[in-house]
Amino acid sequence: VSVRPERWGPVVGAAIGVPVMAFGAWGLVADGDRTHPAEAARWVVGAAVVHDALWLPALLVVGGLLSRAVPSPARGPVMAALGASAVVVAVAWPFAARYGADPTNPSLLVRDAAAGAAAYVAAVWVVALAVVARRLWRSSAYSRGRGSRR
Amino acid sequence: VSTATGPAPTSPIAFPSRLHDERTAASLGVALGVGFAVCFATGVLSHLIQGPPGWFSWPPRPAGLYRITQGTHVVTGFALIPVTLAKLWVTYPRLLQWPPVRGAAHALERLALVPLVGGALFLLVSGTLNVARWYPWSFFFPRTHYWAAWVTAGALAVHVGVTWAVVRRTLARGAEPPALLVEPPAHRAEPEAGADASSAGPVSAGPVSVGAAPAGAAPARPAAARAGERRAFLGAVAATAGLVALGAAGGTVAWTSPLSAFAQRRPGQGPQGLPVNKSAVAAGVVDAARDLGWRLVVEGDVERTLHLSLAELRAFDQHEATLPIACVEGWSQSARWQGVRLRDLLARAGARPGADVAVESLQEGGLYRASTVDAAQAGDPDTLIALRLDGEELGLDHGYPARLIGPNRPGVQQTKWVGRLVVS
Repeated sequence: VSVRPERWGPVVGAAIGVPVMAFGAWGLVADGDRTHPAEAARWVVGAAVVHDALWLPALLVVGGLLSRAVPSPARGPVMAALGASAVVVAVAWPFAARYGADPTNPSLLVRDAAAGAAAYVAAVWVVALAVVARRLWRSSAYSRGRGSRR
Repeated sequence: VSTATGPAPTSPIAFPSRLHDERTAASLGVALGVGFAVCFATGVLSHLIQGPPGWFSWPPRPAGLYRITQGTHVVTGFALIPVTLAKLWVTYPRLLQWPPVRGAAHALERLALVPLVGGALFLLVSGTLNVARWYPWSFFFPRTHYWAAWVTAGALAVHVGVTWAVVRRTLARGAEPPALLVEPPAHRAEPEAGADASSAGPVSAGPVSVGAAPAGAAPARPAAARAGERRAFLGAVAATAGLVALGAAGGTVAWTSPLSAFAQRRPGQGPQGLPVNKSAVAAGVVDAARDLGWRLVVEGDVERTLHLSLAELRAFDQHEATLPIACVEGWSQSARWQGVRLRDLLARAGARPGADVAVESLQEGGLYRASTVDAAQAGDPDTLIALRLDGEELGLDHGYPARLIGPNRPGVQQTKWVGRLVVS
């Protein structure tokens, strides 16, 4: 593999990316009456901090504890289902909480997002358990095959 | 082990999963690059349509194009949520690498991750909350989302440049087994193969672990087992992305609606079977819209100013058009509209051909109380001042006594409760 991309990649990326970032930053400031740049910056940095210091560590702790309780063939699917469930719940939360509801507009936020998210989470775990069952069935079939050769 | 920035750093914390590797990160990175590019392109397009600079004009045809570009923007954005979170999980050990900084270039590279990660998360969070209509901030969402997208796109270009060589190398056909993003702490190093077979049960069949714990590797084929784990993990991420996208798609792709968990709208649900973005009560126009003295005023650069009552408007040739309301928030629905062609009104007033028209609502304030119809849209035979919806008189929430409806326009530009047309 040529080493050249390692040299020109960052140069090209910075040549394109830095002016684009600067344009965005200029726009945030120039349009400051509407973008409130200080608050927008707090949201950008805050989103990263909440993710890195709260969301992901919490998931890692729960996943770590759960992985100890779950035997190997089920561990992967269970971890995946845990992650998928967390994402579904997080996305559904602002809809389920209905903070944006408008009493004069009954066509808005018409779904029961909590029930919908619960159904999605149930579907996720059904799929995960089906994957586990398939693995167990396959490995027991393999063991039987191996046993019969003894 | 070589990366764009030299040898893989070490981590003070053990991350037992072997999915924290270059190839998993690169695969998710490519998906994110494509997805964010789609959102950026459709988002900038929507921004241009809503405030067109001189060099830009948005054609009235195809009539349903905007519902596709904006539906794509919103549904793709939702699909990016699980992919982004998966990528951040895969690369998380790099955040905690030790030592945290190795020189000025490395410090800059890491600093550039703040606008990238924070910006991407901000776009996903603010976009989601906008669809949920929840604004726990004081800034104006469309502008802030728009400018933050430029910052994030720039940071993404920098990041693509820095990681380009690694992505190419690790995704190449026949590439070596990928390097871990961090080396585990020396005392916790996981053997590549064989020694952890005790945790694997009697036999490990197929992909085993997509979580935080070490997998029981098939003793003879560690690389194949890792590839299987990676495929299973990427499959799970893709499935979750599809699920979250399905959750959001039901407001615009009607057949997905019964399976959609959190789409803001349900096709067919609303006054006269059509969702409403802003009610007449919320817009504060109930009295003005019901006023029997209402007249549609056509003025500006015209030969004769018109003051048209509802009865006079009904006396014009009535035309029918099937056109969607396509909201920037991603929902859309078609309906049959009946009313007067805008170009007939302009001709009656004696406006010169090629004129632009400002369409003003009875609303006294608000950012969306007026919209501009350019010459191409004003000349389109389907651009109507609509008086009826699906054969009934236009309901108050849909813009009674008269509303603008035109092909290929964002919903916020389909001005309701029209009081004045100003020709220029």
